[in-house]
Amino acid sequence: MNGASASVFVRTIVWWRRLGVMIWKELLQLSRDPALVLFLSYAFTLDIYLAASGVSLELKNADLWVYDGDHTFASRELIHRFRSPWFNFKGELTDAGQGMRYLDRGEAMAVLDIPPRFQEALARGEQVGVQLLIDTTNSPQGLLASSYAARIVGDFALSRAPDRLPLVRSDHRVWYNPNQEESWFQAISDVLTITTVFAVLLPGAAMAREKERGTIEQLLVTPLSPFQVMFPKVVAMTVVVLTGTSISLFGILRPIFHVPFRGNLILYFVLTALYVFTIAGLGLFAATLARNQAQVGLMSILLVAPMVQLSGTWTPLEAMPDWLRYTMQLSPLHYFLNITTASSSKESDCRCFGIRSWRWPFSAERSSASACGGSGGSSNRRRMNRGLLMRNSKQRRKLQLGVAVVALLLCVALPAAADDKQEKSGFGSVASVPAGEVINGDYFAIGRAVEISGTVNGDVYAAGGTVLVDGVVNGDVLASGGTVTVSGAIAQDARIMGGRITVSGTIGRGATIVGGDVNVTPSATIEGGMVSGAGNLHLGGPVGRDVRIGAGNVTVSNKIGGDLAVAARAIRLTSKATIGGNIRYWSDTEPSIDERAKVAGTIRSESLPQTLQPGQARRAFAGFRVFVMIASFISTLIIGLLFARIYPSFSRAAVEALRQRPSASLGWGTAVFVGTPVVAALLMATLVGIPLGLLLFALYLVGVYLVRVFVMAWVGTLLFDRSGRSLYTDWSFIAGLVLYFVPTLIPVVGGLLTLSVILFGLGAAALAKKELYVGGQQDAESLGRADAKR
Amino acid sequence: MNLRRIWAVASKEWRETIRDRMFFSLAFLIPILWMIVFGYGMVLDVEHIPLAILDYDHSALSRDYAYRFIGSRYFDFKGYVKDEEALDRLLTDNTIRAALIIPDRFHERLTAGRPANVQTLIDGVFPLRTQITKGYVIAINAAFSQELVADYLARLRGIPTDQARRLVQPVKLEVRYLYNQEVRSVWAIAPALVMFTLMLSAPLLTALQVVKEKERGSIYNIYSSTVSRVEFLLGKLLPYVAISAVNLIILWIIAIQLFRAPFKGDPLFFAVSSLLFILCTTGMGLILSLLVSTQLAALVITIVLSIVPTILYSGILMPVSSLTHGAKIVAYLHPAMHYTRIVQGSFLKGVGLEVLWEEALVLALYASGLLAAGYLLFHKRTRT
Repeated sequence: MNGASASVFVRTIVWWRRLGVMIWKELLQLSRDPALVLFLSYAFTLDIYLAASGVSLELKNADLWVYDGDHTFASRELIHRFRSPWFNFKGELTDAGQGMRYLDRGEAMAVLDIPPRFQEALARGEQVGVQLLIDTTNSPQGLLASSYAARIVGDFALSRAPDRLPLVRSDHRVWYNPNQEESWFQAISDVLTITTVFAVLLPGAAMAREKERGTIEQLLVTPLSPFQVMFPKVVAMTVVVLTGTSISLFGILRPIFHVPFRGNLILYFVLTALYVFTIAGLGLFAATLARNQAQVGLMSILLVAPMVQLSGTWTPLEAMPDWLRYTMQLSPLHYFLNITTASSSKESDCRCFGIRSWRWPFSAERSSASACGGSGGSSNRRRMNRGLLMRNSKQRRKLQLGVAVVALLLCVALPAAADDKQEKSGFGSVASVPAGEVINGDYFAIGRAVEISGTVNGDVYAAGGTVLVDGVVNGDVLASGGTVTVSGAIAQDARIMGGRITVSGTIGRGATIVGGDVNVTPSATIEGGMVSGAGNLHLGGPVGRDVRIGAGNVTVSNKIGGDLAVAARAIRLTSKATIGGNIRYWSDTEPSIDERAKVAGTIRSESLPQTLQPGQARRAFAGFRVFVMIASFISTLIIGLLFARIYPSFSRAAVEALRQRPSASLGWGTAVFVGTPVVAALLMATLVGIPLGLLLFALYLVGVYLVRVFVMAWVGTLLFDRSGRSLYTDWSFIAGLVLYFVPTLIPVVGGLLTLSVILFGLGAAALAKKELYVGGQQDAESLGRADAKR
Repeated sequence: MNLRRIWAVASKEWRETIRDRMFFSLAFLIPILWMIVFGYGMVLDVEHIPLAILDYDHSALSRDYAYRFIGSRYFDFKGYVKDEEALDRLLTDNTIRAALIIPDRFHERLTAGRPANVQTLIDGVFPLRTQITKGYVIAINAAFSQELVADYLARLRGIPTDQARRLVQPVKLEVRYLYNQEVRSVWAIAPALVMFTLMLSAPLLTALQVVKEKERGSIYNIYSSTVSRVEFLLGKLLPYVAISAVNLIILWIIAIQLFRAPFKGDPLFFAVSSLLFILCTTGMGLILSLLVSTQLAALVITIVLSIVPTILYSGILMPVSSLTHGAKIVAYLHPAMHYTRIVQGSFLKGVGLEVLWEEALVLALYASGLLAAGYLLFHKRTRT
């Protein structure tokens, strides 16, 4: 073993030992706070026990008072049926008004009022009404009380009716929680609540404490890397929370309440650790923003309370308003809840845990989950830089790296777990609905190949290289692809776009088909009308109503129920063609109509409208593009000239940045270009930041357009003024502008060019901003010198 | 007790608070944001339950029966399926929350006067919703059965349908929903949220205020000053009571204006009892702050102690009557449950002191008890 590898070995050992020592330090610090330790053990044991044993969402023992105006056998029998566990019969009232008072005081949940001569009326076969007053200050409970009562009264009535009646009886099977033992549910959500609170607060507050007391400065002067300072906090608290969770699982839930865990326990613990990690990121984020622990407390609870309550614990996301539903899908707890309920109650297969998911396409969930993890990370990094006021750039870079690694770990956390057999929407290489499968609701599919052979009771939206629909679609089909084949039955409209389109199935209503080669085979049936635009169109199947076609070559060889309007270079109607209505055509050449083809109405040639001439259309389009170009050119020109006047020092600093540090500009530009939308989205996810996020996004769009002027000025400077004395002159800018605009007219290269200009420009703006910030009112000249020295 | 000294402590505290701008703004922002987010998010109305139907019978009667569900506003019909496997799958991926399986010979059995069993599958992940869904299914079944039975009896005995119907349904239940006639959950939730947000945010404001001084050592200034224990505690409490009182007014306005909850009660009574409640919640935070020795512990304990019992035992979601004894004791010990009654009484029932005096008394006792405990726990002389 040579010296180098030995030293690497020693350094690794030291690195890990430092990490270990720091973790130990955090644990020690925690254990020396007796109140906290005591409380932690209370929360994970007794608190869970109480919640699991005592709490029920179900209405039980609703206080019932009865005003019995009849006092007969029948009325007593009815009262007797209102009993535990549903109702708690408190007693009889002497007068009707008393019931209202009890309800007001909250001593009664319901009051039953039986009229006089109840039995008599029953015996005579008359219908008698009994009144039930229900307190609905808690609306779902009120509804439950009334449904219990309805059931009881229904049973009472039936018990007096003859047997063997044609009744519909219902057998209820409740899934995933067969006996509706709510202790599971309560226990699980309570464990989650406590886990979440601790996971956010412990690392966050520990970090803020070091900042508040100033001990963070001590840590920063040690040889510890920033990663080694931050990471152990997360690890130590994760260990604590995991220990607590396992105590409550194996000490309370399993032995006492027999909560079944069907999933893989190891996997569950790994996922819990990942969840705690992610959540800890949120806590650390709050800690970097905050100056003291009070602020951390408020910020964490601001996030934690909605997360705990609305991630799908009480209310399924589908019942929430849209904006909130999408927001709550950013909550890590939402995914963890799915994982937990999946492993405890829902049948989980070991591949993917059978994670519950709402109908939001899963790819989006994945990115949002990672975004959530990332939010802690990426913003942490920024805040740490400023918050800790570290001047040593090497140290700073290390810190950034450290936080980035932590952030990365956090990012990996949940999305990795969130792998799901999402069948409602197919994403990926091959999305298919196999034969025999039924999908209720709309189906969205994007993939290399999309195959729909089953039944979809809703609309199908498919996009892919090849799209095949040979099943049954009881709705619309919207398909686009290189090759689209429809051989199944579509109950409603079909809108198809593609290179090569073959339709051989039935389409219940209208069809809109746009493609290069469109072939409607003789076996196809289109019940409604058809609108088509194609290079070559062969219409071999019958069409129920009007047909309108714009195409290069058109062949019609079957029945058309209504009129045919066609604009094409070559039109052919074969002997099998039957047109129910008139034919109108726009064409340079005479259509070839077979003499055996039947046309019920008239055949009329229309003069070719000018706009339809291909050459002219192309010219018009080109003209439009030129117009856009000119508008863009002029606006950029104005922006550039104005910018140099309004923000002279900033413009110069930006160009200077490009001159001195082009690669840094590109790097920063890419970061800003990619990062800003992410940050904006994250801001919007925090609810508080929605206006800020929108503002940021708007600024971003404006910025992307604006910053190009710096690059143009730079390019102009390169050409005309290599001395670099005048950094942003009007003439260099105009030269750069012209130089930029000409190549952008080239199709692909132009796009790439624009992109790189934007990246460079954004980077330059970012660097300039930073340097002006740091250097105060220094002018660009001295900045340049400073840079040169460096 | 010297009012000037109380005032001095309070103004020092107030100045400290407003200089911590983030803390100060969060103190107002959190309740408002929560009120809005929870108000829209805690939807307890059970409507539009996604439903799929598996019909083995394919008869006119089974279709008629299914239509009862399809047409109901409580159910959101997602489509017919072909086999039970499809139902499994739909339930697993949460596309539907309920399913109906109509057996074959459904029509045959019923027209022959024999009962038919229909199976319903209900997702049990949200117990409350499961219960309510079950209630809907039973109600629809009962209505359908009654019509069938009435028709059957009318045919069998040759009596008019009206009479048969009376025979089938001798007792008719007339339900009157009081206080919230449309049974809208937002009416129930919005007032409860006033309690909820105050209960969660107010203790946090005070929880760190004493322990912070303990950690930093600035508490020794107090120890050596002429400020007495009571004066110190009252002075500490005052600014946060003021902040919470402002929050209360804002929350009240949101509940009434944004969520359109009715306020039928006595405003004066509501204001006074709310003030008592605020004293309780801020007092709770203060007591914790006196008890523990680190800010971390104070934070964690306060948050867990305010979130968990408020969700579980205050009666906003779970009815207190359903609790077991142990849990009921916790519920009665916690001020949240009493104040929930006051809030619901004031908003929806329109009752005041004459009915809710017990609750108000409990809150008053609670508040004074907390202050007394604070007085006893706080020593100006350090131990040992």
